[in-house]
Amino acid sequence: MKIIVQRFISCALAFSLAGLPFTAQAGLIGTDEIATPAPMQAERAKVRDFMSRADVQQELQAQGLTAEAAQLRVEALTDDEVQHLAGKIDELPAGATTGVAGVVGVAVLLVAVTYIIVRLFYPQR
Amino acid sequence: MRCAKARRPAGFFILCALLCSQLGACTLLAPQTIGVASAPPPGLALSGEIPRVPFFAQTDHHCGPAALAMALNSAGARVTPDALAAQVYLPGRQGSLQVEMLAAARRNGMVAYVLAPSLGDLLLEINAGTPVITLEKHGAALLPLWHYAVAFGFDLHDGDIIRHSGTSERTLTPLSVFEYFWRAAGRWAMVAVPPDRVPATATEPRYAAAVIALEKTGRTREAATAYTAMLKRWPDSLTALMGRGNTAHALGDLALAEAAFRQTTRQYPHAAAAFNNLAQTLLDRGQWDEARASAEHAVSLGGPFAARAQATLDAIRKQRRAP
Repeated sequence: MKIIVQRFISCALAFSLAGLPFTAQAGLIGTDEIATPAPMQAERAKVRDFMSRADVQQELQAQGLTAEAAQLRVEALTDDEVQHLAGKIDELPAGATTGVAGVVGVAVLLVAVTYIIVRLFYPQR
Repeated sequence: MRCAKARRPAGFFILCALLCSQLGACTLLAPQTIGVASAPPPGLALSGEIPRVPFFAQTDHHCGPAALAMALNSAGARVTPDALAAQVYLPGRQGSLQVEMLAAARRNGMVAYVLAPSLGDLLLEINAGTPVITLEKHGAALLPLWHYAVAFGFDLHDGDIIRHSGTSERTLTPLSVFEYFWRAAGRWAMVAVPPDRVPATATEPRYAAAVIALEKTGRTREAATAYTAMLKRWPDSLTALMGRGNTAHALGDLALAEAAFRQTTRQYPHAAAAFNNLAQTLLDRGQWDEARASAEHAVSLGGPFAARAQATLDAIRKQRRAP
């Protein structure tokens, strides 16, 4: 129920933002804008980023974070990082293992490759 | 005798085949190891190890927080794996995502920089004294297992890389074996460096993006330091020049902001954004005439920021009319 309300609010906010006439703002031009100047799409991107942040926050909560923690963690991400995560949190790499089993595995693989090649080219041996 | 005679060439062929297949397997599975061994990148020592990189043994599934704690403490932050778990660990995935590793490094005041996917660059960073967090992919296609570790030494003579990994402190792994797992994970590696130090292999646009991320996520003071460090490495960096002005303005140091934007307009006489920001800063300092002149110049330069400059100019004029 809480999630539905939150989604409704975020959608309503986003649409009200989208409805605003996008007039150019007076004041400082941000460092990020200089690096990638695309003012025509900038306002549209703002709406998209706003939506994505709400989505990612929901997804983080679905992965077991509290609402407060999820919010803090979304705030720590850049817009690009939010876009990278949106809708993919359950499939992106998540580092977890101790990394011991694999080393043994590759040693076995190398020996196996050698063995197969030798058998293939020298079947009589 | 006959037997020995017949066997000798066969044994020789088997030995050759063994060598060839090992070499072939190596080239296929770990191509960059061969490259680094045969032609080391310029400036790379034959071996090296960063002293006193702290080790935190990972607990269940917490290799992300552990690896991050090792890198951050090595960079001068004081933070425990437990504190970092709250910033990167995702219970539902039983692991930590790459972008959250970057974000957490920034949250602790460091610049998070993703290295180019090159083993040579990775070793050059270690050579320069920066431990590297690497992602490795273990397990089979159906059950991929991801792992973070911290590389902090290497020996090209023996072909080893030295890492803190999982529960193993200072473990030596053959470079080719390491590359195989690292390659499977897309050759992803990151460093967390103090804002006053630019990573050895950093390129201007990628490092600029890393510092902008720091600025955008609210670490203004650290970003200001990082822009200044950037200017030492790349004195012509437009991002660094503008970033220094913007962070100074945000920190309330209007005199420094003005100086920075003036310097930008001298080095980039066609950068409308620099004239626009100079105009705003001058206005904030109460220098109305100069502010208007700078804004007018920004408008006259046109380009993608023309509308913004016009808005700034309008605001300046308005302020004069209603004192």
